[in-house]
Amino acid sequence: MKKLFSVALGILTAIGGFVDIGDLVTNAQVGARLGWSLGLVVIVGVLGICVFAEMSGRVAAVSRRATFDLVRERLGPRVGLANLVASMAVTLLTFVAEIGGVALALQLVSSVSYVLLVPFVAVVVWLILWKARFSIMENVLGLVGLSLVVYIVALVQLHPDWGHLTMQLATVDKPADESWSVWAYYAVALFGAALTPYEVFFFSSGGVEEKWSVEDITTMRLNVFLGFPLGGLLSLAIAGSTAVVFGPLDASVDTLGQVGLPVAVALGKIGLAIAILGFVAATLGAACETGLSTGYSIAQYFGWQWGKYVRPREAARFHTVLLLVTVLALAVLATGVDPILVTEVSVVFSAVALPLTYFPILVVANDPDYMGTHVNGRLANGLGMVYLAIIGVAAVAAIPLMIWTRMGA
Amino acid sequence: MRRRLVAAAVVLTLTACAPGTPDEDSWRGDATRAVGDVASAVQTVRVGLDLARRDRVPHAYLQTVVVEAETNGGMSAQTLSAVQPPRVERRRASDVSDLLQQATDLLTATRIAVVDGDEAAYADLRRRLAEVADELSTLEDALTHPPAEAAGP
Repeated sequence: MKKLFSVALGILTAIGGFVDIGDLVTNAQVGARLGWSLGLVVIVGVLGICVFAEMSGRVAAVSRRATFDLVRERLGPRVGLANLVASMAVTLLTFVAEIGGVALALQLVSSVSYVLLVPFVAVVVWLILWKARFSIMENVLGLVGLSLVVYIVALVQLHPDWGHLTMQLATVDKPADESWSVWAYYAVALFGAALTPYEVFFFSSGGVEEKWSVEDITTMRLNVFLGFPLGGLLSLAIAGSTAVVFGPLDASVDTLGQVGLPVAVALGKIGLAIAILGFVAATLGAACETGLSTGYSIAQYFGWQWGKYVRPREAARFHTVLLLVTVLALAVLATGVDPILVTEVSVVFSAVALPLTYFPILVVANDPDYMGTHVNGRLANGLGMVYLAIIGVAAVAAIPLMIWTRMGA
Repeated sequence: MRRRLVAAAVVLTLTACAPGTPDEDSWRGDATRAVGDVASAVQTVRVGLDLARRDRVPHAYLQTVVVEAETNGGMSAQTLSAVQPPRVERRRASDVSDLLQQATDLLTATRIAVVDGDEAAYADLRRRLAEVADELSTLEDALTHPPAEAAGP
């Protein structure tokens, strides 16, 4: 019974924790503009994060060490440093976007400018990172993040033309008034949002925090292969809702306030309140995950003691990094930069950094010295290689498409 | 919207000079985007007021949505006004400017009413927003083609 509860809790938190500010904004923008014509990209992206999260979780369970703890040891300091710099830059950008996202969500209920709310949010995030137990942080925010299921209810209540949406999804039917370059730009952005590098840092380091062992591999796989795809359904529901409300008006989505309007149209004030709760939980949860990921990756590269499973005094340098990145994020947001713009940039740069993040995972998961009998099988390697090819194309195309389309303008 | 403004700011910074005259296609592209952005802001506010009429959105939320729409719409209109229109597009540039001004004024009037909680004004504002949205949509479609006078006799 306890095992069953643990599996169910893991799956629910994986669903609730799947969506972050990048998924919220990018899916809403794409839905309003392109309907479900890029739904297949979401599905491919979710399968990709499942493949690599399973690998990094398996590495953590078998070796009792986080994936990137092993990258420097296995691939050497140069590759490790390239991996650290690329992934850290994107994770920091994402951290800034998530803290800004929490402030934007709170602005929706308070009418107070997000710039004034950012210091309060930064302090809350830092206190959670410093004080809260790992399991409580993950479970509470993941479960409250399930509020975003309201988007599935809203989509049903909006009575969309399911035939049209399904046809768009199945045939990758680009709207006639949109150019292929814009369509490709948003495809790369959606892919980057689904495969954000911090997710695997956090997943593998979290496995070590929770002391996973080989016996936990089945539970971990259930979390990944059920929780993440169900979380991906939330992304599709967000895109579908904005497609129904904003698509016919030919209106684009540029603010978090607009992302919530379809829920208000379908379900009124109560639905909207649940959606806002979901915004706060999803962005706050992701802010904690990205903040921890920056500390994890730096501490693991330099071989420092890290993690929340030891007292802060024993991992002083790790906690100093967490404090410094929180102050840095606060400083960036205090300039008044638009968190939505930071989000849009972060998902594109996420696509650029993907090969440097995911290639080392594939290498480590194939090393019998670390993995023993749990080394990658043919299926995992086949999917890993296919995804590396897709990731490579997305990484090369991301910046040129961003410039060419003026960020999808 | 802001990303377009950032892109424009980057271009202006890199060129580090007063705006030159873009070619006709380039100006039409900029104008189409600005009109589309302002139309988006107008439609969003219209949806918000409609929800307020049916008591489906809290006042603080509506206020945030309207303020952000006004800010974004205003910035898009202002960015286009800094672009020098090519000679052949001067007449349409004037039409675009007038309509964008009318739309942004209406967004401002709506924001004032919403912040004041003047719900009696919402119905009239919704009607006017719908009219302006239609005009912006028509203009956006027209801007995808060169002006009639440029096509020659």
